Amino acid sequence: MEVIDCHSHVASSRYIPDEFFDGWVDNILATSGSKDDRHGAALRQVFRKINEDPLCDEYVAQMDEAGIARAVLLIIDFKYVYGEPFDDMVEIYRRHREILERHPGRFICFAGVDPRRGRAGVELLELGIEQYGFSGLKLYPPCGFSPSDERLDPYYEVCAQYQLPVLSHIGPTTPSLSFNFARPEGIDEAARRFPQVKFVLGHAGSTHFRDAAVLAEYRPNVFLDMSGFQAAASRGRFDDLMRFHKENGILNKILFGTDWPIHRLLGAQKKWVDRFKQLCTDGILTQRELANIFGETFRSISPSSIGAA
Amino acid sequence: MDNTHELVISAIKSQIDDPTREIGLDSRIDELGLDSLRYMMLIIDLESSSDQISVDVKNIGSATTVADLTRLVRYA
Repeated sequence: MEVIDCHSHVASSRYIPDEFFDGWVDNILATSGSKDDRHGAALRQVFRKINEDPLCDEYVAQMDEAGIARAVLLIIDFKYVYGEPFDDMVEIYRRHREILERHPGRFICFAGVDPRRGRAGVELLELGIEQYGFSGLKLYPPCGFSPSDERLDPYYEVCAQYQLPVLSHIGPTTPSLSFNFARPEGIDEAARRFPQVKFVLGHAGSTHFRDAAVLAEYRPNVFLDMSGFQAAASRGRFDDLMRFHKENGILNKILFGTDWPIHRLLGAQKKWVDRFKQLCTDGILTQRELANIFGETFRSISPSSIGAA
Repeated sequence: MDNTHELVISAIKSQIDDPTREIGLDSRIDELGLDSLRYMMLIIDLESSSDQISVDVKNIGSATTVADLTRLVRYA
């Protein structure tokens, strides 16, 4: 049974800025009720450490241990939030291409573009596909746009032309970003207007999963990825979450994902793969259902990515 | 049981609902009732307990027992 992780990132402050994690730290401290001044500094330091694997060598070692054959590396265009470090997306694309070549056959890369780049952004996407071998489009609406914004139409036309999927973030994120555009229904108009494009709702198998399940059930081209399920697992809610998807008849629209390196503290990649396998042991999923979640469904929506560098 | 073990177990007890619970080196971390937030707070409790102490956080995800966690505590 081949395992494909459909949602991960290169661990590096070059691609996931320290400010992104700092917002999380503030939220974690507020939620925990911590009054200890040392905790903030310690937690910031912890997140900086787990975000250091710029060539994905540690990631590949964990993939090997876990039996993950391939993983999708998602590039996020943070230009309109974090500014200058994201001005030169071509350089970021080039470095991701180097990672693809460093670990042949292990990674698939989705190009990240903010639609406010306009025509230049469309050309960036085409460059990513044609020159760097990228196999999909990653959107991050909390940066300040709707995934159904008409400015994205030319991007979706490119995805339709190349038969490439779109993966859009769903759900809350670092508190300095807007959650306005991060709800599942934000994708509905785009999915209706571009029925030939497959839309994957990132994290929506575990975040806003009830609303997302409706879209997955009634839109043939909408799929949900499970990344972020680690929080449900740590709270003892994972089995119920998967039973919910099964009862709603959408297991064939569910994709395995981990969001590496975000949840690295809570478990190694093997732990998360094993947690899904446990669903079979416990009679919640059949082997066929698990095989679809682990990779077969991703293969069906992204056939061009399999066999990519 | 050396000081590192005691430090780790003390940090765990400060995060769980029942601090009188018996915890040993063989105790499994996923059976301690720590959700993701409490687990993170446990790690930063250890990290911030002394300037001389750090935790190998890159490998902490592989820790399954208290003994595993103890082995990841480093002294400067």
